[in-house]
Amino acid sequence: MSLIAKNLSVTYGTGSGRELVALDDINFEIARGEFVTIIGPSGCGKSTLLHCLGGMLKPSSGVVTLDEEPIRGPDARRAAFVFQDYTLLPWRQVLQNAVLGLRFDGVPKAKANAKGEEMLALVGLSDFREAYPRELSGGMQQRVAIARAMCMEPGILLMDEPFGALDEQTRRQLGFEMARMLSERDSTVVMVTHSLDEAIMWADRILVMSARPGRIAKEIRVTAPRPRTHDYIATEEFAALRSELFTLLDQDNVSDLAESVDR
Amino acid sequence: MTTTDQSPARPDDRGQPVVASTPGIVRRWHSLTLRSQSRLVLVLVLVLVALVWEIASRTGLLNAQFVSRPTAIVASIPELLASETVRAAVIATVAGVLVAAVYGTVIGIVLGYVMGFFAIIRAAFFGPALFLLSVPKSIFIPIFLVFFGLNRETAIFYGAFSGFIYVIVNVVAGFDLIREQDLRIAKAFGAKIHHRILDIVFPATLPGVFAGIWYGVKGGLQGILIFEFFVSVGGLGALITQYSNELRTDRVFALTLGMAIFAIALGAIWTAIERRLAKWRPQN
Ligand SMILES: Nc1ncnc2c1ncn2[C@@H]1O[C@H](COP(=O)(O)OP(=O)(O)OP(=O)(O)O)[C@@H](O)[C@H]1O
Ligand SMILES: [Mg+2]
Repeated sequence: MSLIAKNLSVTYGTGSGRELVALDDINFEIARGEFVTIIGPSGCGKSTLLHCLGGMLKPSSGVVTLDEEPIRGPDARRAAFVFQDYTLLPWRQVLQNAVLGLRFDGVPKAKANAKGEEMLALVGLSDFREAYPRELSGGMQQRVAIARAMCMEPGILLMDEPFGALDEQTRRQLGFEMARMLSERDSTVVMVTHSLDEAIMWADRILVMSARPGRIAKEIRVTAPRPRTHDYIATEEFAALRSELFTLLDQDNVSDLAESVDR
Repeated sequence: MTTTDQSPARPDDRGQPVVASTPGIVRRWHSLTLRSQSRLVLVLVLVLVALVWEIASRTGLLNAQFVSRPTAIVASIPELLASETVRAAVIATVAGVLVAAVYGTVIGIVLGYVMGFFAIIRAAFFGPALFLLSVPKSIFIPIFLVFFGLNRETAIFYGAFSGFIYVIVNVVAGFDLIREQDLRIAKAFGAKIHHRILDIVFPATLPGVFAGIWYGVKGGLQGILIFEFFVSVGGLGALITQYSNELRTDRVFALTLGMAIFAIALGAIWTAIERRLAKWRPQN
């Protein structure tokens, strides 16, 4: 299996009639079981790219293919989303939210609920299965959204800052849990993150994006075998990667600033 | 400064705080919730108004013939309850209100959803519906009389009409409560059209529908009563008009009070149902 983005461009029409090039000529290939992280300044088109990969957004030009088949629309079994705003349906309890995709897919209730319970246990929310989203914190809601995506046992998991609303501790713990599980299942993952550590820690490959127009500025391979333990953070390789990323993003921010001052 | 009010409460020998200088009634008042306090104020004001009314009417300050008095109103209740005419009128009006409310809300909900689902129909009819909402419905009474004649059914149709406009507008407004991100989730997780309707559209529009039903019932009640006031088709409205002409002010007040209690009871029942069905919503 391989997920390929070829000459991918997305142009948004803005309210003022101007056009905004969100993605410009993106090319990459992701192999089965690969864990790819995407990092880049805010507004550089990370979410846009992820939406294209999952068939939620039709690119203005170029194509996304999975095993040579062009992706024309969303299919949660093929690629399941954890959206940046992790929306849960407010009128459904946690478990019902988690099994939403299974229900839509026609999976019998008992089977769906069993799967849902399993995934809620994974994200540590078994005790909240009957709670309504308004009773949960932002981070807890985000974990339900992760469980909802995992329930689909997707070929590819597309995650847009899945740990964004979590504290460092939970973030790391959940991250390790998930990374372990995802490696065990040989899941393919594309994860957008703002955290340098996260981008390096889980990834086989890091795509660094630059802003306006959104391009892949650099691809960085992380060769250490996965899943990695805490010890990896202390290695020289980690430190070197971190400093490289830092410099890349810093330059990008500077050019970003310069651009906004120009206008 | 040596007043006990200023010094912090300190335990006395029995371990009780010393707040002896505050009178009991004031302490009781402060221990009440804001809600009970406001209720108490309301009751006090009502009692006061009734008292002034009673005295003014007894001393001849106000003409008792026209304004009656609280004791006379209360005294008129048993004879009203016993009267066959009153009972028939109440049954006719209440039944009329319920039938009109059912017609009004069912038609209103169906048309509201049609408007919500089909943008073109909404664009065509929402403007006129808003216009109808803003004009006094009673100007249409002559039209109803011409079309349906001088009978009780016409009152029901008019009541249904008065309600259904509110229902439509509220149901359509409910569609604006559908969040784009919920539709995005539905799309991403492969919702079929019936899932989208059952899982997203219905729950999201429910608050609008609930508001609509309530306004439909209220509109039905208002419509029927107004129709009965203006056109002699029987019912409680006609009876109130009749008593008013006969200067039985006590009975007019008693019946009006009865209708108000009926309306308040409907509202309370409705709130309870709504709270049960919308558990997921944050309680304000
Ligand atoms: N629906 C839309 N219509 C118009 N412009 C859009 C739309 N969605 C995104 N954009 C623009 O496209 C650019 C990229 O947006 P995108 O959400 O992909 O950025 P991002 O990298 O995910 O940012 P962040 O890190 O803040 O989430 C932004 O400049 C944004 O203003
Ligand atoms: Mg984003």
